[in-house]
Amino acid sequence: MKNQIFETKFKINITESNINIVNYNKIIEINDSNIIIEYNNKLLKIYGNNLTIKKMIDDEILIQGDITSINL
Amino acid sequence: MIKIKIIGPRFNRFLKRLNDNNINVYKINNNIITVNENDLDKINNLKTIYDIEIIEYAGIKKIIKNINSIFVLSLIISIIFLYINSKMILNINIITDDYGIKKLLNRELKANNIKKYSFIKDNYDQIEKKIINNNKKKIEWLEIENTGTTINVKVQTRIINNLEKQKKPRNIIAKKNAILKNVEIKSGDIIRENNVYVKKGDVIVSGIISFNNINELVACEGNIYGEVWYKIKTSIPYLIKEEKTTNQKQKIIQLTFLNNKINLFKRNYNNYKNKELYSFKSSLFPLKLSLIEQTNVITNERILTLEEALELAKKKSRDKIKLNEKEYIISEKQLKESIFNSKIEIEMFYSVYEDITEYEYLE
Repeated sequence: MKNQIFETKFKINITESNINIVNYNKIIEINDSNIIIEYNNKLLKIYGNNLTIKKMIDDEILIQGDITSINL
Repeated sequence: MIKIKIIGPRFNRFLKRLNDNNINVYKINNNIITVNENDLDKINNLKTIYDIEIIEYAGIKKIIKNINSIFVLSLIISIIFLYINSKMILNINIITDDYGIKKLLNRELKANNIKKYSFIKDNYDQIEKKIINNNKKKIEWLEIENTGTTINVKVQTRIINNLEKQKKPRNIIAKKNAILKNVEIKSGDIIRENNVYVKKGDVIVSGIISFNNINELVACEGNIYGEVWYKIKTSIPYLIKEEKTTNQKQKIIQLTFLNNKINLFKRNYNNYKNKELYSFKSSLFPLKLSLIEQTNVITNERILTLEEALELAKKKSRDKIKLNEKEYIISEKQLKESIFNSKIEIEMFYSVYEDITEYEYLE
């Protein structure tokens, strides 16, 4: 139960026009066409059009837009 | 929470700056962001070429900002009104079946300013003592209790001992209009003869005994009997239901909630009579659980003949006259008979030998 509540694993939830990322380290780059996120000494690259960040808190980030590709 | 507008180029770069400084952004809509109010200073320090414009507060601060003076005033007035109402008497409940005592207490309470829409007092003990002192002959005990906005008045009336009452000087008077038939007395002076017509309230046996020009008051004791006349109308339908109790019985557990009865496990007979054997009533909820013995009853419907209906009507008429041991019907006569499609109606005359004793106490 403790693991469920205090989750520490990096996670990505992808829907049609949203990406929800949990337990990331920091944002490396943000612009309309790509967003780069650092996690566990690795980089997550999200490519698309009209990419915007809708929510950005300690350990969670919500990205919206026309997503074309994701590179882990 | 606070909503702020970020004015400047490259909004995303500013967002990254916020992220690098661990500032949480809960909502982003174009260049309007929702952040914690505590982070506002931090954001101001980071803004550099950007401008920050506060759009609105969210949460409690938003509510407080929108509260205007009219709202505050109406809130204060409502609180005062509520307070005053809670200190007011809105209902007075006098718990007694005695109408005379109820009337007396209403008067006494009003005299002590305990009435509807007056304020609740804190000296009910003193008022209780005052009322009892003023009415020692009628009131044995009194309690005035305040429950919320209701005043409950509990009273115990003084019971005059029957024996004391019997020793009080009194006359024997006629309870009803009648032809006096018999006077059986142990004490008192008979002032009316038999076979005379007496009206209700007439003195038959006097409690004032005169002897050698001296009047003595006595408590008359005895009974007087008279012939009383009655006219009784009765109607009987031709179609009657006769009930016959069978030997078939069953035990049922029944749950009663408010006025609804629910049988558990068994169904009722089509026609039945119930007898409650045990019951358990809840003191908190309107619930009762009972064990009932139910007897199956067979009902037959039949149509009476005219003679049968007439006979039944006469019997029903007679039953309306309540008689004790010494009383009886002297004579009866049918005055009127009306026959309708579905019923028969008769009017009977009865002459009854009846106890018409009543007492009138002398001062």
